[in-house]
Amino acid sequence: MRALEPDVSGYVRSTGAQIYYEAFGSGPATVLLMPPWQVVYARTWKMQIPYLARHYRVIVYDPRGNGKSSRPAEADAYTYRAHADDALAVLNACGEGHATIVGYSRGGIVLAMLATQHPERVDGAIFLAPVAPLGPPRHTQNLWDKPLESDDGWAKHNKHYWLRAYDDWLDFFAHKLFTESHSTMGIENVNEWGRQTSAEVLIATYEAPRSNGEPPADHAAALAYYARIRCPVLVIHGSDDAVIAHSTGAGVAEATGGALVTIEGGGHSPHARHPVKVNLLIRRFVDGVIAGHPADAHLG
Amino acid sequence: MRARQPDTVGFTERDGLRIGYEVYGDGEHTVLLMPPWAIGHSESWKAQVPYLARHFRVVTYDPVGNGKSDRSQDPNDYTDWKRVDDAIAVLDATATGRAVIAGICTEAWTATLLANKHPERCAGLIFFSPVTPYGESMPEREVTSFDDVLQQHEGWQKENRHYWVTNYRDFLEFFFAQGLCEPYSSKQREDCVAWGLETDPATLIATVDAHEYLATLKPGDLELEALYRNIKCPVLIFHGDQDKLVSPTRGAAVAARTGAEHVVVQGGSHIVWARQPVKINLLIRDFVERTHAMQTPSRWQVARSRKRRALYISSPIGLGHAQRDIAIARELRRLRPDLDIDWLAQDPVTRVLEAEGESIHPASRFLASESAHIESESGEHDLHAFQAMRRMDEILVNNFMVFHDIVRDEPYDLWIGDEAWELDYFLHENPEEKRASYVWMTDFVGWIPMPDGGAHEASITSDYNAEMIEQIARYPRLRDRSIFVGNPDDIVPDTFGADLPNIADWTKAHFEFSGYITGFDPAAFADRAALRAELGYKPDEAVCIVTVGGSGVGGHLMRRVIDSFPAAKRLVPNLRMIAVAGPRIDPASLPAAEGLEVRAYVHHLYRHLAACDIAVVQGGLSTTMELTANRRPFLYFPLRHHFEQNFHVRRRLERYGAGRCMDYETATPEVIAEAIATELKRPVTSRPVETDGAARAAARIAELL
Repeated sequence: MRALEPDVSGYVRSTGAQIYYEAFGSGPATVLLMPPWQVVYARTWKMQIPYLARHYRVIVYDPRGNGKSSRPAEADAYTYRAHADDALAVLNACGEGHATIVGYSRGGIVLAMLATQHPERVDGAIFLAPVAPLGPPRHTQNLWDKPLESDDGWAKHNKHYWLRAYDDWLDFFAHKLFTESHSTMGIENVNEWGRQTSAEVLIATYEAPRSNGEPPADHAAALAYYARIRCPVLVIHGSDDAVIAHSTGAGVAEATGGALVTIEGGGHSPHARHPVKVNLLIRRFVDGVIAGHPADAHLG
Repeated sequence: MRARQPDTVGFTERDGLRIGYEVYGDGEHTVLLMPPWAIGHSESWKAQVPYLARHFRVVTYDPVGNGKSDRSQDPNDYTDWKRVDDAIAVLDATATGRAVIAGICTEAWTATLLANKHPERCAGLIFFSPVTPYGESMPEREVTSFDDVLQQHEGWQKENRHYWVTNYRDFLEFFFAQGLCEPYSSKQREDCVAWGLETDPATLIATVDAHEYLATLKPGDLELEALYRNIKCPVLIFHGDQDKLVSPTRGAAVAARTGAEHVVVQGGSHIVWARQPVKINLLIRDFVERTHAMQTPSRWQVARSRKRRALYISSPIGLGHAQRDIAIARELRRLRPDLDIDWLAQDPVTRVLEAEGESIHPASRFLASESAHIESESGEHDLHAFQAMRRMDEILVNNFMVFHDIVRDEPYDLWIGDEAWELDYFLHENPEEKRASYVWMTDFVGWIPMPDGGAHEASITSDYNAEMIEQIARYPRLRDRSIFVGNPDDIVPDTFGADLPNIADWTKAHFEFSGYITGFDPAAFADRAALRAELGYKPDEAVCIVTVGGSGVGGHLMRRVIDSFPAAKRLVPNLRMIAVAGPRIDPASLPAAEGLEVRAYVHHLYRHLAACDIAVVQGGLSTTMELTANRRPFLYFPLRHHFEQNFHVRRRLERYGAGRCMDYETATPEVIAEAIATELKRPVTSRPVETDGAARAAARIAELL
């Protein structure tokens, strides 16, 4: 059973997709929890919603390609621009002009685009284990669509393996999201949610063309891009993140002048594995945004 | 002694009047703590300055009319706009562009004017109980006027110019009893009265006679409304809901007009920053950091990957507890080999810890010196231990804040406080700050008045005891273990004071007893002959060790005993006297005497005490009990006015039948020489001291890990 049912739910049309959203609670601020990559959907926020909804209005939505949202087939439908439009469409559908927005993992790219190109919609930005062109190369960069001889470890993170053994990759990836021991429930959840989309959808997300306004790949240009973010910023990143290196989040904090909270011993799903800490961090940050204090210190 | 000295002191001028200011710390952001009304001065902030100065640059100054600033009896020098000029003069003199500015009471009004006239100087504003035309007055303050000639002066009738001239002190005592109306505020009231007495009635009357812009404004005036609406910087307001000087409705009214964060201190009186310093300090720091968007990367370690860690806070007054604490730590590590222990400690305890290879937390350097304070409080073989402890209040709050910052940022499983008064007291005042298991250890319970302190001292010791009893009764969850280092029979027969429990009954009900903890095993010295040989003491000489412990208080006694050496040597020809100056007395400051040996700090002094033939010591517990455990004869001289040495320690030594108590007043060098000769001949009949105390204490503590 869900801990809290939404007060409002519905669909909104956004550049070639139907996006399913839910809104919970009310309060002096609105928090938009964006979905990360399509391997999961809004349920990833199940540990945050009931708490935050007691203090704020909370909006979540399923990404195009998973959950109750539609699953366009073509790669063109999965640009970051389309993802950013989905977030804006959901805010509009809920009648919200602006919100504190949480971007998790690949949602970090979407959040950076919203904060730079639609600053009036973003009161505060929380980057949770964010993807950003500010860290070391990813495990699979440039290899994910090449046929590989091995199926071991990160070699599973490959287009051909996805098509061949999606469920096995999914379980591998779920384990990488949780480097902490005793994480069976979180791993099961990702397996369950990941099976609701397909290798084809995930391949489309990776084959989507670059769109205008994305953070540039070049490091110096990326630093300048993130430095344009003017709203208060909080970055939360696990020291043992096996998917996106901790230095990536640290780079976002440095480039934006935001606060960095390191979850020492934490993996790529701090909100699922350490929900109390992450909930308290979000609450404190949002309260600071409401109070008009540009940022918050000593979040630990 | 002050917990922290200023880094810069100076004077600036306004209209030819000198204003004394002080600057602390070198943080990037400045906090200007405006003085209160001239009834007080900048020391009002003594519980805030040391803590804030570790995080920010802090500027304080004295108001015209008190402290180091000039006195004037011209009312024109004291108007609210002139006080704005004072603050600006200090900001200019200290080259402070912008600051978070804190103002108390009427000075919150001054700060409001400052923020209007000089908005570029204000990064943020902090108001305590702000005076403003909005909100309600205190009707009882307005029954009679300041100017009326009255037949009697009861209550607020003391707030009267004629009464001030004749009964200024009584007015101050009344006024600050209202300003600090919570129980257990005797120290804060005493401070405020003392600061009030640093100025005089004529000066203070001039401040009241000043023509204030404030008095020309009333609620509803657009001009007044604009003063608050114009404030663009963040504002934080504190107001005690029990404030008897400024109605809490005033703080609420200012908060409503400025959009301020409004902290209502429930149960708090007017002078909340002095009475509730920990909470106020934390909120000020948080506000200043948020105002400047200060961002320190923070870390939070997931619970299961944390190492087991304990923070040991060893009382730093002298060396008394160092050996026993190390012994307990050793036993704890035996029971929990994976335990890391960090020590929060200061000189001279740190010398012992370093010699033993213990890990001293680097933040220990921020601790203000308790030993130096105790020395500053001492006279000739005289230390009023209770008053010295009371007057250590700003050092205790400084040191608690150091502790607080450590445990906020680093997860410990256990805190052990061996007579860590700051930890125990402020934890009970701020119970929400408990975040680990906590063990309290002590070797005495109960403040006992010295007979010559009379009824006044008895009333204060009993007030302190009552507060402690109430704290323990209200928050039994805070101390997970209370360990009395000793046995039930060691407890004095006194009560905690009038209408308070018997100390022994209460202590037996609230503590467990570890037995005494010497920190060493006397069995190791069973072969005294070998030990003497190792230490260079010949079989045929009578070795007399003179030691006054680890603090610097004992210099006078040491000189007196040295003076007795020639006479003693006549009575005991084979006498060899060794004076151990200890870590805080310069051996070169002691007189030389033919044949006398003087040594500086001696590590493992207890081995020498085990080997000696007689010792002459102060009345401190640790040294006398080391001698008792080794069954050595000794003379001990309790410090005058030291309640612990005169009552608690003496009681325990008498129970063991150990040592001979001496009176410093009557002990001439001849008397001391005679006593040395007598005690050398007398067989030791004292009871044996238990040797398992450290293991017993550690076993109970380890249960928490």
